[in-house]
Amino acid sequence: MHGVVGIDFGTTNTLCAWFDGDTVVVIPNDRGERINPTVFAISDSGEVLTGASARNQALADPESAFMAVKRSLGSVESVTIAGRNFPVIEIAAAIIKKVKQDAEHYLGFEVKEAVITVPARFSDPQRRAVRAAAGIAGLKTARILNEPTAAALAKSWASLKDVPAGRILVYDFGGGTFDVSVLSMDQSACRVLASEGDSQLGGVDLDQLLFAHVAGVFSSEFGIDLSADPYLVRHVTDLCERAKIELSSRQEATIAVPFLQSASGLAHPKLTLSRTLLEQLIAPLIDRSITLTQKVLNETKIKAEHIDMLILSGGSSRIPLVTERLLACGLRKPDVRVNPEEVVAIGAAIEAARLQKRLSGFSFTDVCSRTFGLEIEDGSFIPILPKNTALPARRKREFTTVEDFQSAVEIHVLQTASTTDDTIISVGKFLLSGIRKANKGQPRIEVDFYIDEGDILKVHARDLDTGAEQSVAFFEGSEDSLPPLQRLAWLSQRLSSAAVGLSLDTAMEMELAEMLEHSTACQREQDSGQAQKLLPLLEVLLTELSVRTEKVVLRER
Amino acid sequence: MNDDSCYLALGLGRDAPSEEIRKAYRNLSMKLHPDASGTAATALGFTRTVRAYKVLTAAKSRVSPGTLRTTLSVLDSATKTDVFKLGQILVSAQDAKERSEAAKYLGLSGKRSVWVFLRKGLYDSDERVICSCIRAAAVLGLAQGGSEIAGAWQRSSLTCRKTILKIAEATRSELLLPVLKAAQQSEQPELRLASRRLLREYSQDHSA
Repeated sequence: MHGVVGIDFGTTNTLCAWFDGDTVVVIPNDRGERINPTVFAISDSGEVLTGASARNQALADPESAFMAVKRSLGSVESVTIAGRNFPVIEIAAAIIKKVKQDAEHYLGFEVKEAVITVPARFSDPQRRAVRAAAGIAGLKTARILNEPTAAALAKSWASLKDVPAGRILVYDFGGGTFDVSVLSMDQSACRVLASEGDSQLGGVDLDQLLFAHVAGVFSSEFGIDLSADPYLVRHVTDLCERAKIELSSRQEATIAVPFLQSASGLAHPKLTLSRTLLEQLIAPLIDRSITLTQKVLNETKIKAEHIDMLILSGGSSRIPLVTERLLACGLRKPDVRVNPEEVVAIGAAIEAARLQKRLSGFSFTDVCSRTFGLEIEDGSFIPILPKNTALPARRKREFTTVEDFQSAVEIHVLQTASTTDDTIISVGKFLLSGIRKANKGQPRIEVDFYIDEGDILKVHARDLDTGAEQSVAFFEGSEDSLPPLQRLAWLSQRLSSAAVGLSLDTAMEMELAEMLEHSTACQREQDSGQAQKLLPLLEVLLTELSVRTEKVVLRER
Repeated sequence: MNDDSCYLALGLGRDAPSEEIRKAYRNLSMKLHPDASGTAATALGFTRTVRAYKVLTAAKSRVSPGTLRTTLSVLDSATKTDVFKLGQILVSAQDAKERSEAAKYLGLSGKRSVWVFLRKGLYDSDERVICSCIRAAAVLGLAQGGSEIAGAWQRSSLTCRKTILKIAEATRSELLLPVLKAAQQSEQPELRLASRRLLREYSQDHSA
């Protein structure tokens, strides 16, 4: 037997959970702890450490550790730790691998697949990076699940009996990211209506604010410059985090760092922090999260008082100020029956069980988190599949030609990454040839966008008059993420379709045939090394073909 | 048409051995012969190739083999046809001559996909290697890469620029059009003149 586990790969903590047929267990690691710090470190002897060991190492030697790897995923290639260069993906992989090993040890069987959660705002490259990291760790990603969706899933599973229907708001304030989503639930179906978030807002930012305050006091009152010493920075940041947590249940907390060298000799700085002070410091950040919450409510056109349930997720949501502000918005009191730190991992485990068909009578719908569309004649973007459409989703639209007797059109698929970022990203393009010879504006070209539950976009273009058609599947919004062999298959497919309708010289035809043959051989023998070598050549050929094609885009019909 | 420009027209360096001349001729025929290209537009280019080939084979037969200056290749025969190895040599060999050779054999493969390697060669520290790459690319019939070659032109010295213009003159390769346009703006009057003349010839070719 092999199992699919749920992994909450968080900015500060990573958790793994398993649905055992009856209930969900958050799997303890080899130390018996259920929460693994997302920290990667290199010990003095060169050993790779993750989790709690790495966190301890980080206190001993801040330079040798790397934290919050999730924030770097998909944006930074590699980082330097203790003088050595590490690809970010491999750091994430090491952390996931540790969790996988712990799970196998606890469960007693091999774990080959996992449902991994990511913030709803994660962009394509970031999602791909998570997938790649899991791949390196030896896990197939059964599904990438949005964190708030997972939280709602956990909740709706836990409360199947007593909450049959309603609208849910998930406020997920984690260690490094903030997400807020609105879901609707009826009987046993759960649907995400809308989701907003900020991937650079989390508990660590609160710690930073508190640290800045403490550092200020240390330097003005005790004459100690904290920033001069990375050890001290790490240590005091850690104390600040603990004080912040303490202040959620108490009114006061103390930070003390004995035996520090100040300008006037040895000092034992001690500082009492009050909850009011903390709230003053972090209020702007909390307000930012509240603004996003209101934005998502506006988007769904649901009034705050019509939300039936508020779910808090992530450790920072325990802060009393958060609940206070949420209540001020008109929301109901949060349901506190599920541990906010574990709710996402539990949801991932439920989804994993659902995928393995170990859990029945429970249907669930996710939405696409990006808007997909096409480029048309003047280079502008026409949205076709809007954000927040329930998956699986299908949208069709008719287009036509721009010029008389145009025989081919280029279908250029675009996406907008998120609502906070208006940049439009090219997903890919392909050519539809064999269009009926007619005056401009006459041909009817139907473009069909389809995203399945696995988040794979398929675009299909068809000339309704001649029946000429061409379809292309985009993996996770882009093909760059594919492993070499699949990418090779994908490129060969595009090469052959790009060659249709072009008049090529013999040399080109031979080269093309040879290349496709090599590519087939590669796939037959599963030789990914050779595939890797062939890929750049195929790309050059594809460019050759596309440069030769008349570039004419679509017009709206 | 002197011997030098005949070699260049085939994308070869001076004194290339007969089998390379034959190979280059065959490669170009498969791109330029109207039957192969499917368009009459390449007929002129094909005539030029045939002429160059005839001049060179006649010259070879006039010279008895013993008196031929033999250029020893630094690459073994298996490497000469392995584009991946050649690509590797082009970017990593210590010896500039070896890199140059690699560029030449990449060109002799006749495959357009080797552009992926040749384009890297445009950034070589040795201008002879850059020229070899451009010479090889000029006869591949590429539709991409013109602007990258123009970029290499902008970076290169006067001698190298002259060589590139010679390649353009011998091959009339459209790949070098961006170079000619850049050369028109050149500070050296001789380059300006030469490029203007070449551009005229290019457009005559086109109208014919």
